[in-house]
Amino acid sequence: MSSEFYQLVKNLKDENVPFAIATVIAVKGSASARPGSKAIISQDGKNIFGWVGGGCAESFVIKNAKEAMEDGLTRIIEADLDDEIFGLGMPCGGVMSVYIEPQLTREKIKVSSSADLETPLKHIAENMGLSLSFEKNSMKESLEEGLHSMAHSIAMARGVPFISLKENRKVFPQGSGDQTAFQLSELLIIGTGRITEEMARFGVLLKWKVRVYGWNLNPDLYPKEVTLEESDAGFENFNVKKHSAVLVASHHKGDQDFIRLSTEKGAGWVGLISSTKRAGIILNLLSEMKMPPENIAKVFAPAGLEMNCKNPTEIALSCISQIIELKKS
Amino acid sequence: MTPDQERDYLLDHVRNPRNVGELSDAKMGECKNPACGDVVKVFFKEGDIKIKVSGCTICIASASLMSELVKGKSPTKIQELIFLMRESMKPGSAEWPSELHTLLPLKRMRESPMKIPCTLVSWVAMERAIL
Repeated sequence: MSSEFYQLVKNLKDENVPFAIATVIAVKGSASARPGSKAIISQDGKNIFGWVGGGCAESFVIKNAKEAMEDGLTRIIEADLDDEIFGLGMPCGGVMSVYIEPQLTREKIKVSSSADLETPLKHIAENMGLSLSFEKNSMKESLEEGLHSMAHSIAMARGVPFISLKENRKVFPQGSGDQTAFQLSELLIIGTGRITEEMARFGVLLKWKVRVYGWNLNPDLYPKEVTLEESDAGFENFNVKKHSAVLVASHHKGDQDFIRLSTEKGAGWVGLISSTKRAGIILNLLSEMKMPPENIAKVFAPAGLEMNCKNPTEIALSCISQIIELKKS
Repeated sequence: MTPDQERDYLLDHVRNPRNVGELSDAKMGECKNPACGDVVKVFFKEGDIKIKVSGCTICIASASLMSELVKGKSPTKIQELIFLMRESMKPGSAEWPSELHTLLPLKRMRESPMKIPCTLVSWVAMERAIL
């Protein structure tokens, strides 16, 4: 795709106007567009860039793009370009699948916090693709409190309860046991990837001691304050400090072992990045490994607070907020 | 009719649209579908009708079928048929009226919101011609 396409996408995003990107992802038989062909559809239903077919094929794509911009959902549509009567009316001889991705305006979030937090919170919100409306209050709040408030506001704006994901998604065993407040010693992040990077950034921002234990760790992707440790096959160099917060983001590569070892070594918070289904599988594995039920109950799987997260930064904020709730200030 | 028979029936009107042309000393109604560019012109005078169509297969078939149905009918009767057609093309409508039985294969088009305007372009042009 031409650089003009990406430039236009950037311009539209900068202008914060909604639009949709239509991409031909498959063609069976004959059609004028090819896999990879793209078009940009404006909110008022005009093809403002690119090509995904003409005539009825284009109006079919535009109609669906407008619907996608209304409900905010992506979709894959199939254009029948074969049947002259029951298809789209253009007997080109093929079927074209088109992926439609709506690009909506930045979600608006309203946060009330102390004045000195306006700049950092707005910066973080922008990185998450949100538009923050900041209301200064007379309280003197810490950055931890400010971040927690922002996470709470996101959950409220999305109409979801700001409670533990594990509780909200009813993962067995429910509850968080007799979780007690702990004096955070360090944030230990296990794994490699975007969530671990974002989590580390939040930890450094809050002036926490942060260590990442993963594989193929790229120092350029982490703040310099973070300690990076390459993982080993037998967990020989894996160590956990008492009262640490341990985020397991190893994506099903020894999750249960990391959780068990962290719990045994007295971690104050242990959370697992996972889907609801995988959380259930890991918790059952821990049970089969004879981990005491009261310890299993303390594992936050999935980790974090319900925010209906949409990207790695939000997932990290959700987890950080949960740690902030449980640690001693 | 089976789906194949319906297809053939409509395609016959697409390949050989009826009553194509212009009428002198006639009223003319025109309608365009801005979404896809279909254009229909209807020339009407008591007892006769001609159509000119530039559009998709469904638009052509619907215009041709309409011209056969309304030919020789009074403006009052045609207005009734226009009303019936509009009502019948609404998604979820139940029965297809017997007065429109020659257009029954178009019934399927109401299941596809994209094609409802294509089906009705000629009917709007017809209405404009008799008003």
